[in-house]
Amino acid sequence: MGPELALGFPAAGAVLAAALRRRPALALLCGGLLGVAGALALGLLWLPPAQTSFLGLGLPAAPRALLIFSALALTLVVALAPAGADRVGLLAAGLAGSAGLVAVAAAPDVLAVAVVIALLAAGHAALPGGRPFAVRMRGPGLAVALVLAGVLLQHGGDAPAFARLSALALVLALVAAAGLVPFLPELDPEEPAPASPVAWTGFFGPALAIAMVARIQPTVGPDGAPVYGALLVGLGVLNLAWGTLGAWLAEGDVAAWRYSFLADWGLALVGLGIVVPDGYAAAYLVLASVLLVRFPLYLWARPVLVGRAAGAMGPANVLLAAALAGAAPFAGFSIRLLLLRAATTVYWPLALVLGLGMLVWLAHSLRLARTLGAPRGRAAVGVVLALGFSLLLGVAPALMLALGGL
Amino acid sequence: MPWEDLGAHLLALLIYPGGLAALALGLAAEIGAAWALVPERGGLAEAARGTLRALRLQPMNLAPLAAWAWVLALAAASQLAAPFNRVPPAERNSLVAAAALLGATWLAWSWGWGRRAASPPLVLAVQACWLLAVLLPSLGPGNLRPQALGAVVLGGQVPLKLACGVLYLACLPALLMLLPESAPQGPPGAVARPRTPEEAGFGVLRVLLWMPACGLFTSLFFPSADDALGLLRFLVVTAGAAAVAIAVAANLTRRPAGVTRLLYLRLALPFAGFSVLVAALTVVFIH
Repeated sequence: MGPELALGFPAAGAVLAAALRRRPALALLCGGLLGVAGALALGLLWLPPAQTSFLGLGLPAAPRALLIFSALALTLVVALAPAGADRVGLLAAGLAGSAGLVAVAAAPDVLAVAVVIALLAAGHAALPGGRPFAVRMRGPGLAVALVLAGVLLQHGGDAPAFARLSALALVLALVAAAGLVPFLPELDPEEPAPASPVAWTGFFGPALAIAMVARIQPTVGPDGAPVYGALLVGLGVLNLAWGTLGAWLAEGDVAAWRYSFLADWGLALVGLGIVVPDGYAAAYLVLASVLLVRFPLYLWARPVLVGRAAGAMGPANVLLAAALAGAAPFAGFSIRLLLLRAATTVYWPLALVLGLGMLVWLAHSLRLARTLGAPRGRAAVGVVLALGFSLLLGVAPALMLALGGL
Repeated sequence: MPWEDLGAHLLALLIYPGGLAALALGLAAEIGAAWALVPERGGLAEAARGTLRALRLQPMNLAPLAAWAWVLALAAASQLAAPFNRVPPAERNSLVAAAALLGATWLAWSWGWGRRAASPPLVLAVQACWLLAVLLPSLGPGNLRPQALGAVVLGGQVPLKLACGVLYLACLPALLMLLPESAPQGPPGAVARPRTPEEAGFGVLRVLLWMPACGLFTSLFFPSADDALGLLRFLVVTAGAAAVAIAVAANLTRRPAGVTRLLYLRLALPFAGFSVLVAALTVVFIH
């Protein structure tokens, strides 16, 4: 019953939090307890007896670990949300998203993944926000269409062209599902955080991507593998360049934050495309750091981003800038080492391109750190915790990798 | 029909899973819905008092339309793949359950057309989506027996069952008359004292609809077993479906007017189309 409970608890929590919205304390208590129960059920899946499933579901280790990091990130952002934030809304949306992500990770085939993405995206697009529903559904809708096309092509015939086209469609689906270049959604800086594309890319995207890769990669086959790898690396480099330059040169700070997520995703895509263990490990760590460090920091920067507080550049901000830039001993450093090692193993000029991208990275980190202002109260606790996670990912990557079975 | 079969059908209709069981589960769900949808009225005790007051029927005032609708609702309940249901599994049919549920709803509409904020086109669209959610899972197995459909949990049917399950849950608030647009008798907790016997009768109809509507979801999408654990699982999943319906209704009623219509027409209808596509692909991949 383990996977069913891991899916059922957050789903029930989301339902209760939504139903009890007019009683915020009760909604937070019920939703929080069920969310914690869901995270515990996920944690217990490391024990083989808990892995038996009444519905025949299975959760691979790496997506499972990222799901736990998602739960941790949700706990952080709800418990330590800035003053004035809609905590019940955040919790309900986060729990519903977590349940959806568990469903994606547990989905037995790619078609089931498409159905869950459609549901997850529709739920996210239905949240109150500035952009019309149809506009918000465009990217995920395209992802679902591409997944369906990819699955159909897999059944199209034995010719290598079908396998290659299928790999092409599935990789593009992955990128569209995460909301990355070239399928970048519109950004409305005024939009509430849960409904914004940044929340999609920063919170839903990481577990979604790892779960999709776990389902897609085995179906690609030897004919599709070169297309799969090359396209992921190519799109990764594109996102890295777009993200680092965009975060540096963008006019608004919200846009700069969004581009900084793209840069992280660029590294993750390259890691997934270099089909060697170090590359996959680097991708996993990047996505973990997006969940545990960058996404919570973005939410704590919201008061400055929406003009409710002033930016500042104190000693804490300098430390944050170092963490966001990937300086040692924070998360980015070990990730970059792993990725450069993997790139050197496969094709050394790629390491050169990546190295250049990482150098440009420094430019925008100070800008982003400034938007966190002078954190006080709950936000200060949150910033310290995010820095702690970044440090943990940086100094003990082996521990985090072991959690993901890597 | 042999007397034994007749007795089994009567038992299913009047005691379990219809009749008494439907009334008990329905009352609990109705009180929960009134509490969640109109929180300003007070706690659970106040919601229970208000619900029972709204459902009070005068014995001398007949409500013939509502009474027919009750019979249809109970007939739908007798078709469920509920553990210990005395109706033989081979004689249960999801199409009969769906037709009976739709019939009961339309009897309510034949009385309530034009009343309150009711919107028949919206309800018709939702019912079409719901019917797809009920019937599409039977395409692959070629079977309409609820327990046979519920038993299919593995393999290529999973995406289709997932899509149809979510579509079913999304349609439940409208089917159960929890939304102002779908409730000619008024949503739970909204009516303090019914004005006519039919209004009270259709209030009771909603109480009786919880078990067949939510139980059909459990029957179609989850395996059943005739033992204590199976019964517990059936009740938990059925109550869960009811809770989802209440949560969706609570969320929609809080939003500005027109959002419900917009969401159902722009979200549920396209998703129903998507489910048809998934059904077609599933059939192609399996055969």
